[in-house]
Amino acid sequence: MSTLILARVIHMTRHWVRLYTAGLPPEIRKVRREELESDLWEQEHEAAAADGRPTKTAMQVLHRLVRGIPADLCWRQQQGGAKLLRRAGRGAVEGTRLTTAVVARHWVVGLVVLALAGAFSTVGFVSQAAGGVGGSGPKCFLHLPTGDEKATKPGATGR
Amino acid sequence: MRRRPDTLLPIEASILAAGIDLDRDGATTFYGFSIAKEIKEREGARRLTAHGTLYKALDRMEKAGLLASCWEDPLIAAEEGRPRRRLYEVTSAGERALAKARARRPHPTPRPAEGLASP
Repeated sequence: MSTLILARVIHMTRHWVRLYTAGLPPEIRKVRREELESDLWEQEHEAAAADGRPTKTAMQVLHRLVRGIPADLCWRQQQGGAKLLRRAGRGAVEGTRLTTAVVARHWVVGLVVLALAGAFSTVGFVSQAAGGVGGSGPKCFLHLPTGDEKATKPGATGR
Repeated sequence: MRRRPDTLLPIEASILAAGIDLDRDGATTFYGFSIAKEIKEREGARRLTAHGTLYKALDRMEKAGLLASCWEDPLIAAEEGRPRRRLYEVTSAGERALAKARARRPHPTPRPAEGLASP
């Protein structure tokens, strides 16, 4: 279960990176995505070699993700791109101190929100894995399996 | 708030200092995760630098000429079964910038040496 939590957190981080780099020139997008991919791999494997506590590593990765969001938006705004992200970036520049203060004080609330989002996503992830759904993995971030989906899967036992 | 030119943000000073220390220890280049670890150990921090903060700073410093970067040989990464790393090194401009920033820092008041206190 704890390995699954780590996998979900890493997936969330990748998803976030894809989101805020969407629409950038390919070379800039590729560099950022590959750097983060390397970072996530290094942190996951070093932690596993050190003490093998996936839940602790998951929380550390989550911390790094959440605390870096204002800087990600600011960086994105500086690269140019979608109007919405430009606005978000300007807001992040103006509100970075406030955001940091709020997150620092209310990080527990933020983590709970993210954990709930991750839990919903995990339900979908586990259901898909158990049901042997083919394709490219989880369809969306907050996918919840429906009864119809389970009924139409070949070989599904409908537990 | 705009900062003065030729000043370093704390994260930038930390990256340069950590990069120079790694160089002294024989690692001429560093990558994102390794510098985050080094900063955490040097500064006794509880957590690693956030992704957004770290990679934004690395990007900015490279554009400012304080760092140089290149991608690792993909064959090395493939042999080790991991994604390739983006390798950074501190440039001479980066060393000068750090030295200048350190020189500007106010010096702490020196404590009197033990044994020289008045009776």
